[in-house]
Amino acid sequence: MNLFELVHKEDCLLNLEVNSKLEVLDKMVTTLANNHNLDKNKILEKVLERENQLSTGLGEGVAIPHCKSNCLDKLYICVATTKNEIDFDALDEKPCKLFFLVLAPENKSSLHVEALALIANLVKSKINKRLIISSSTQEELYESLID
Amino acid sequence: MKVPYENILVYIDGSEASMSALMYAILIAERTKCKLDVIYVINTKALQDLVKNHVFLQSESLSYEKDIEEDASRYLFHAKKMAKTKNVEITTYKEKGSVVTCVQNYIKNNSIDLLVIGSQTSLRARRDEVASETDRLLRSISIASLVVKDNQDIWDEFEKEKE
Repeated sequence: MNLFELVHKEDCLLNLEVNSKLEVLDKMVTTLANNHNLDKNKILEKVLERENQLSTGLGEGVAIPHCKSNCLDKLYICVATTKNEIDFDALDEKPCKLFFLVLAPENKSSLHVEALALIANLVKSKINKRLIISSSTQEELYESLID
Repeated sequence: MKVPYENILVYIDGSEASMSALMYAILIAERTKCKLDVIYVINTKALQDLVKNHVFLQSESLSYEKDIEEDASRYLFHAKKMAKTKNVEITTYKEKGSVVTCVQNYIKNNSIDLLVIGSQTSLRARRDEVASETDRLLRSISIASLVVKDNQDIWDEFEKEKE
């Protein structure tokens, strides 16, 4: 498994103009729902349910919101950078600028875990993070993920 | 290690590529009469890392582990059924831990001579190679390996022979 197989260019969002955690999650879920004909309300509810347990803001400006849902047929990932830094209730209390939304079907937990592990590994590197965040076009953002 | 091989191990993880690898391995075992083992590893190492990196809550990790364990049983049961259609006897094995370590140990303890594994796409991110379990596996084992490309021909061949 690799990110090339999992991320579609149209699901990469650059410099989102949002001001809150809810707004960024809403935009990302809406993007995946529109691009792949998914049930937006059901998914957003699941994502928020998970966020209410504990923020998925890992720290160092990155968040990996995620959820499983029986209304999904496969794994979907949306990647977004935001124009402004967003308070995501991250563990280090620092605002976030890079977001990976990972949605998985109920019966593919193993692949979900591997996808999350790939992303967690990717953003461990400050250089990788900087490359992704400094992208100036959607194309560049996508390429910074897969190259 | 026997040359060319007598004991085959196929690693499955629920992906389509790994199911292609399983079918390919069953077809090889059918024709060569080699012994075929199938392993599914519940990657608790990845789960622990996700908890450590604050991606997962502890409770979430436990719930995923349980789900993956159920997936593993389902896929291994399915593997047995697939092998039966070709009159191939297989041994299935479910293990918890790091994929690389579990597969390495299995190879060592069961005199495996050939590892069959599903491929990934050829176009890939260089960085992914660091994390991908299949890449790490291929780099770390000391026996021959066969990387099966996920190809419709394999599925067609498997189905055809069943008829």
